[in-house]
Amino acid sequence: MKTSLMLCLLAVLAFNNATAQRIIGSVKDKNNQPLEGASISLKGSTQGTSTDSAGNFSFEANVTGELFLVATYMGYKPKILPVAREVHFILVKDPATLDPVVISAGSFEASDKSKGAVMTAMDVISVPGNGGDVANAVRTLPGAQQIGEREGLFVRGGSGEETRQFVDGVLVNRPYYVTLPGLPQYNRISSPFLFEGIVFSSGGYSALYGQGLSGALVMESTGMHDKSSAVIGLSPMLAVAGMQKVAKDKRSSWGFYSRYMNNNAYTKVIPQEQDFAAGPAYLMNDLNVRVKTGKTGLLKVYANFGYNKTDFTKEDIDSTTLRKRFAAEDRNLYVNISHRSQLAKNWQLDLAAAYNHNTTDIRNNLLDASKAEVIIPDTPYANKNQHLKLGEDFFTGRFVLSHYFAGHHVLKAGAEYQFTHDRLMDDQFYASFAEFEWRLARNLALRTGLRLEYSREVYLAPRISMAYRLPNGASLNAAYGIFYQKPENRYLLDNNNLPQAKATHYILNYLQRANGRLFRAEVFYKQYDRLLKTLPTLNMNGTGAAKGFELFWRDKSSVKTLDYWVSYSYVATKRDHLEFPYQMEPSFTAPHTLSVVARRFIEPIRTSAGISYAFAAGRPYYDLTSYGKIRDQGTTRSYNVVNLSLAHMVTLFPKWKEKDFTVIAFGVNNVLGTKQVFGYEYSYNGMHKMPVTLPAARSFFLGIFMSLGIDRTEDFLNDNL
Amino acid sequence: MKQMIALLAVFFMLNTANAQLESAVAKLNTAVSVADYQQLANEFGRFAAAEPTQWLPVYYAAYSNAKIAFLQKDPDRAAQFSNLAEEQIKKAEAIVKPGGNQKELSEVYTVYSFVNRSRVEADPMVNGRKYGPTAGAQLTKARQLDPANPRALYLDGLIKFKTPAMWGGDKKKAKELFEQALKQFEVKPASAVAPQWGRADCEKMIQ
Repeated sequence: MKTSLMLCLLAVLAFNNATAQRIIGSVKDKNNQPLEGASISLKGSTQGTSTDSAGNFSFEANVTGELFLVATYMGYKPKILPVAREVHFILVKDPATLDPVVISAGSFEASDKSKGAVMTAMDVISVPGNGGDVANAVRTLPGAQQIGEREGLFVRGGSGEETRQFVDGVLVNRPYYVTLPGLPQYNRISSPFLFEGIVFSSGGYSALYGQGLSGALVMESTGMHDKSSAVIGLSPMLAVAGMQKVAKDKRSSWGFYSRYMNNNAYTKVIPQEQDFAAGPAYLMNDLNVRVKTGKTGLLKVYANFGYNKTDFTKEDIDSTTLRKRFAAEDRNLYVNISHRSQLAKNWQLDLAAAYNHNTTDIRNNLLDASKAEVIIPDTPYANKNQHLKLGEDFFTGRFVLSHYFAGHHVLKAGAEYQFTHDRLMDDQFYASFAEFEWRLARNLALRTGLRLEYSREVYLAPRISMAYRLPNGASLNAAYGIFYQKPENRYLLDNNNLPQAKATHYILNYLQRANGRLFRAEVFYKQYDRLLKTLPTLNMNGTGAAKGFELFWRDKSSVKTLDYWVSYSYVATKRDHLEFPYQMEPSFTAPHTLSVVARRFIEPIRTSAGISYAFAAGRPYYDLTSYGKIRDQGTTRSYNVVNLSLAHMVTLFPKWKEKDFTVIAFGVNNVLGTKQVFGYEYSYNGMHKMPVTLPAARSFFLGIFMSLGIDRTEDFLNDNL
Repeated sequence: MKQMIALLAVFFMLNTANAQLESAVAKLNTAVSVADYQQLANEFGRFAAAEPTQWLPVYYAAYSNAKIAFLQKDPDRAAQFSNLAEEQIKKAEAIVKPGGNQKELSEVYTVYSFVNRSRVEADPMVNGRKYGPTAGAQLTKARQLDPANPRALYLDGLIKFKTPAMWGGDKKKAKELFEQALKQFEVKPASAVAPQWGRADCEKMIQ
């Protein structure tokens, strides 16, 4: 005790005896830029100061013996220098405070949790005019075409079938309701509640996925819900009800979401190009269950039952008096079960399986003026009376084992199996894959993957991508990969030995993000080495190529409460596929596409306003006969569309224990009523052509939605506008 | 006699440290800009390094860094300050918790909540759902531990004020909370170094 006190005394004496000395100096970075607010401290004491705006410091210190000064600045490596009369620090950036660079060539990530995300899932979905369809919203991103007469994502010169959708790792083989001639169809899986991460890849994607020649839309469903809630909604054409229930112990949750939509009354009020006898009517039911298993496991079950009925007639192109009827009924059950668990430290296992059952009933009829069926046995009328009953079962299962190494390296390996069964044939598909993500440095990441597919023969699909962060914080990305896609069953039925279609992607990308703004530029080249041909015989000798560049700009910080993004895509493509006589520009690709989306929340009137504008240069069109001859061709007028959405938010029952969140929503698509021509339909003899256009110049939406428990306001806006 | 000198010496040393802390805490009441808060964060950081068993220096350092995070425009840079602030407030929590002084714990959780709120503020779309609920829970805890804590009342009011009405904000309720907080700000802090920030900000809100 005595000694320690003595020591203290000595210390104090030393302290008092120390000579007060003024230390001056500066703190700058490598480029001689001053660092303001850097901390300067005398090592082992509380003495110190901070730098001024010129990076200079000066302070009086009691110095005895040999002492050191420490300079620290957020984001930079601290530095220690011996005390002198003048001390000048040069600090260098500390790579440890930078997030590892994220590989982003070819892909757009919308996620609520990922650092590399370009936007949140909500952003993508809340695009005005997307009708609650994730795929439609993705069309505002670069690389995707504005196709108004058909569903699907047409990416970089690829057809709609070349972009596949995945939920929790497994393929969704029938993402859309049955195709209607000249009308876009809805995506079956579209509820924005369901997903917390969406990755849209317009090429060069990971070896973990396959069977999409051009692109992939990879969606990850939400984890455990954290709060019980309920929702209802009503509009002249739509009724919605749903709830989520979380167990008391918070280890499980379940919920459902049902939508019934019937546009028939609407088609009577707003005149349409087609005359609808029934529908389009939809019943969509979602069921989800989440159960925590063990310490780290999470089991997710998602089931979706969808029903669609549409029955309409329109003028028959080959005659002046007759009408053509198209009627379809589509029933589809999709069940997806997935499980994720931590096997051991740094080991993760993902299991997933999905089953899809589909029956579709399609009728084509020729009707006279009194709507009675007419049968004319001559061409071209002979095949205008048809009844098709289609049925298909699809099963897929897969596992992925991931190992996280020290230094952020990740190894993922796994295998998958797909089985398709319909009335006429069974088909099996196997794949295994391994991918290693190397963090070579904080600023350099490399991903090497190999995918092995088996479908009648073995296919090897290597994939490589890398990212390098430049000194200015932007990143340079590159990707290369080979992609295969199996022909559809209807072709395999005629020729069971068709090999898979093949494409090779090359991508270069530049990405910069800072202060709530993001700029992205990408160039690509895609080579099709094998494409399906239907003429002169069914074969896989089709070829093609696509090249182009894309720009994307997003800014959510320049103007407060305003968020906007702009995408521009240029693509030059030619292909020889199906009944094309030689390589030519496909009718589903416009060379220039521009899309602008802006949203603003106007607080005083509690209203959110959104506007989107899309432009596409004219698309080529052809009168291509069934024997592969071009009788007529041209380019359509350009496509211009403005969509608008307004949502007013109120609380109708503020006295309730769980306050309600109510939204009154209004939307108009194609506000200006511009006539859109997507292409032309030709008569059998090639004498007449009829434009394929929107069913009505404008479309409207009005609805009211109320949610209890969780603030679901935003979700509703997105789901329905 | 020797002992007396020694005791005096110790007292003198503690006193200098205390005086330094006192002056920094006083400066906190008038700080406005990032530069002001950065200086204070540096100063509190130095005190915290020298006195690792004291909760106040590290607590103040955390508050100053959270404040910088709030004032930062760049969300990535703000996140760095929020992370540092969290590291610091966790240290304060670890020091205070074993003793279980409710008032002190209430102060710690108020700042902890403030740190998480700074993350939400920096990037609401990305962080809102992730950190918002945590921040809310910490503030509730702080208010339960010490219902008279003016800073917890003020922060609660601030959140109610800033949140649009349809997301659960309530300007009237916010004003009530500010008034309650002001009343509690009248109660003299336990010492010159005890937490006392927030009064000026609160007064600004009520005008």
